[in-house]
Amino acid sequence: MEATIARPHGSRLGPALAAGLVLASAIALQQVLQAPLSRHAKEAHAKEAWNAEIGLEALRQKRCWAIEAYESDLVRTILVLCQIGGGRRGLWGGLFFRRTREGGLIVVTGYATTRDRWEKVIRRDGYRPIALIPLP
Amino acid sequence: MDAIGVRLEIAWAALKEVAHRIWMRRWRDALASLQFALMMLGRAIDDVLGR
Repeated sequence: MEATIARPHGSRLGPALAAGLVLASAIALQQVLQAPLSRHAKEAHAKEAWNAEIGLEALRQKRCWAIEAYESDLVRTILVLCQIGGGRRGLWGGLFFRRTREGGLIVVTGYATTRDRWEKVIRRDGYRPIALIPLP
Repeated sequence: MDAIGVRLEIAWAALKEVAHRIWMRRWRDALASLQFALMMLGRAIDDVLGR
């Protein structure tokens, strides 16, 4: 006579719990990873993505963490710096403007680099800080 | 040497801007960027020559 083990039937709670656990873990992991990954994307790849148009858009949409403006009589250029990343690297995007004959401003280029390299640009080309009047 | 690197970095960014603006057919903007790129290249050469 063989002993038979009675199988519990109607209990699908186990697989459902396991699936829920997996899903919850995946969501938690994504939440934990998302912040450092997006920070990495902003800082490490901002240099490649930044140009004059993206810079202008960042200024328009007030996406800069901080803004500074400088003018150089030596290179007759206005430099607007927009902080795009925090941390040790201190990443800033810069936009170079020149005055047109009609009295307007034209953006000639834009690129991003670390704060210490901007300090070198400011020093080398004699940029002096100018007042930046915030938009209402 | 580092100052030359900084200037070349700016000049390179400006040259890319020129190419982009030519592609977009914004001739006047391209000319302004070209002027700026050439000025930065000139300054880099000045740095190399130690002037």
